[in-house]
Amino acid sequence: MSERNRLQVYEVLVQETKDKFPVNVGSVRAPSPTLALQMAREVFARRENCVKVMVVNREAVHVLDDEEYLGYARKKVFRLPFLREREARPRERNGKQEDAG
Amino acid sequence: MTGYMTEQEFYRYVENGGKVDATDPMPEAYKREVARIMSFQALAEIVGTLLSAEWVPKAPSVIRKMMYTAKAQDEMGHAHILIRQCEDIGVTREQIIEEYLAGKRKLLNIFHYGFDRYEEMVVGMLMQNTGAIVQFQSLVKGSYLPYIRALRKIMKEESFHYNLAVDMVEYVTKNGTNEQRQIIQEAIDTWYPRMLAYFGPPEKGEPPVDALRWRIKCDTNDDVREAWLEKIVPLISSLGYTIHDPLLKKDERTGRWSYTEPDWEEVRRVINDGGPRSAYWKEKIRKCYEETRWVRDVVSRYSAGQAAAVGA
Repeated sequence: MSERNRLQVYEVLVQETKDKFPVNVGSVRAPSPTLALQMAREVFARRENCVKVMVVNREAVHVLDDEEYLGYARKKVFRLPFLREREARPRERNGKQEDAG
Repeated sequence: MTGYMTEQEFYRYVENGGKVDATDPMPEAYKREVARIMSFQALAEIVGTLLSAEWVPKAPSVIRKMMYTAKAQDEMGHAHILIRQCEDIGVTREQIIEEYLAGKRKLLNIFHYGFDRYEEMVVGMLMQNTGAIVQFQSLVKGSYLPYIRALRKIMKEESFHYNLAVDMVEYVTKNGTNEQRQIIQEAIDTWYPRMLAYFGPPEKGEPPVDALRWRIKCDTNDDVREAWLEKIVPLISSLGYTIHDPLLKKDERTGRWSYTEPDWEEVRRVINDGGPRSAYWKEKIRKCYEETRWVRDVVSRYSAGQAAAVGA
């Protein structure tokens, strides 16, 4: 196997502050998780503070990216808090209409 | 997203502003064009790193040396981020460097020159950073999402470099000697036409090139060049210097700039046959690449051991 194929791709996650979830910010190519972490710190956390850096071997990530399937959550009428016909009417914040639902 | 598209539908999709991710199916021609543009910038960042690093020992104070170390690290970080995107579509870092060393990859015109003095270097940085910023502002509107994400990260740091360059020019102007101010003005005169050429020749009259049609690039070379003039002209005069171009003028009605056209013959000659520092940079990169080979070998052996340990 050639030198370039042996290196693995690691996805990098950075947690900016403790009250936020870590976010995927990019990737590095490294021979081990330890070196991947060092590279990730160097590339993604050199200039900006954060509380945690994580790396995940890209091959260990399970992906669902069917945009049609993932994109229709908001189209389900039964997940809305009101009946469809209410949508057309102007919303009245503290008015009687609010509790007519 | 692009999974069920024919090639024609794909091109119509990107032409109409559709966005593409690395994992989406895409025609080979589109992929090649994206890789070409990203790897071209990656190589520029690698050379940019060496250029910055070279000024660490020569910078006039400890704090400027530290700032230049930080800048060199940023450039390498940019190279790394771009290279990762290239690798995801099949162009490796080794390929980028080895093809450049073999003469198969060209450098931007500005990397064929060097700086003899600190005062000249700070002007060059000011010109180059403003150029890079307007170029990235245009490219970030493009169709290829991994490039957009990479550019967003790069732009943040590029604006730091821009402010650093402005600060250095201001500092020398305020505290330096007349001779130093004179060198700054001369450097502006030298670098202005090179920077006009940096954005590439106009695509005038030709059918739009693939990169433009597929929205990998979003503005013509002329439009980006004028965006740069819009930025650099007031900046240079606010710093107390002049751009000596008798044709430089903005038509207030159309908003278009006129300027002295760069000598494109000369630009092509420099890019193909080299300028004053072309051989110098190539030799430096060759040396760096060879001298650090042992590091890559250690890493390679180590990763082989890792793979063996987990039975992969």
